[in-house]
Amino acid sequence: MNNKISRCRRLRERLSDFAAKYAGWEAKWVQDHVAQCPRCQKRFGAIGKVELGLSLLRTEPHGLDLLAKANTKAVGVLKHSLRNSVPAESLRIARVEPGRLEVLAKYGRSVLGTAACFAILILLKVGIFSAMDNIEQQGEKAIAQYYSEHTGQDIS
Amino acid sequence: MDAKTASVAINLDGLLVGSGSDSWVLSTMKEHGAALVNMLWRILGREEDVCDAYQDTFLQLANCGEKLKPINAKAYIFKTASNTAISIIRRRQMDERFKKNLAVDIALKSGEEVENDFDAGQVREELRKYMAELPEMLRDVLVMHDLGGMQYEQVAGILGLTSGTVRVYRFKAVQLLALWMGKKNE
Repeated sequence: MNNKISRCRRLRERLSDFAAKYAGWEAKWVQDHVAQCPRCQKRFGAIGKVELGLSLLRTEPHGLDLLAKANTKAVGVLKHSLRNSVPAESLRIARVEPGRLEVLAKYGRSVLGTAACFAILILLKVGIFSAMDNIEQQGEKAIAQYYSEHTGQDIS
Repeated sequence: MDAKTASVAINLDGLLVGSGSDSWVLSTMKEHGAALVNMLWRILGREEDVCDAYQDTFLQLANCGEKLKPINAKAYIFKTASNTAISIIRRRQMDERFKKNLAVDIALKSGEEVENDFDAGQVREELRKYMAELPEMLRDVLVMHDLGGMQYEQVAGILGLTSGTVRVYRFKAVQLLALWMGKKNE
């Protein structure tokens, strides 16, 4: 049974991959068509505007104390014993905790800077030394060739 | 507390909900409150409206009582909050339509031009307005997935649909919104 389900899932995944490849937005013929068709351009433009609007809604920030305000208002209509309980008190001062990624975001720039420095150092080190090795080898070869040619002429 | 305030407090206490142990309401609030506030903020965009919708939601949850406590409290509060928020948006639209008509009348009388600038705030408000007009199922999917930040599978679980259907509904919702917003701009 499980085998049948996993086979079915695999088939569906393949079908959707196939559809995305040959009939999705990525497909060349679709892009070529949209580039020439004003109606499709308009449709895609309108859908893009909605998606943009949705992302604007998602990214609009709210006050840090909004959760506390909402909790205070909601707790205020519950019965007396609940309103005065310890959990209710903690809800009244609750704040939206930023996610781990958001917390790390402020260190992001410095971490990125340090990583870039390390990368440059590594590249420089590897690049310079390998270049130096190359130059040394090429030089040795050239000198060896020169001497072999000239010694050969002298001997001849 | 003076006599007047005291009487109001007593009257309000008469309306206060809760019998038996309602501490589960507080634990639900603690567990899902932040996500719910985020979703309501994205739908409504005004602090006072968010607080009103949040309060209504938990009031309804508390009214269920211990015996009628919903099996999936998260699903219940998100669905209730979404419906409450949409009602608030509709009410707000009516107010705004009235104010706009009034403003246009005044502008026409005084010979001023009515400004119609395009900005991010306008797109957001337009989207909120049209979202309230979507069919219920499409709206629920869009609100929970795009504004509530839930995965397709979670939305499917809450609404009792398959995740494929949820994807289709979300696409249909976006298509409808695009059509309405496009028509408006023509």
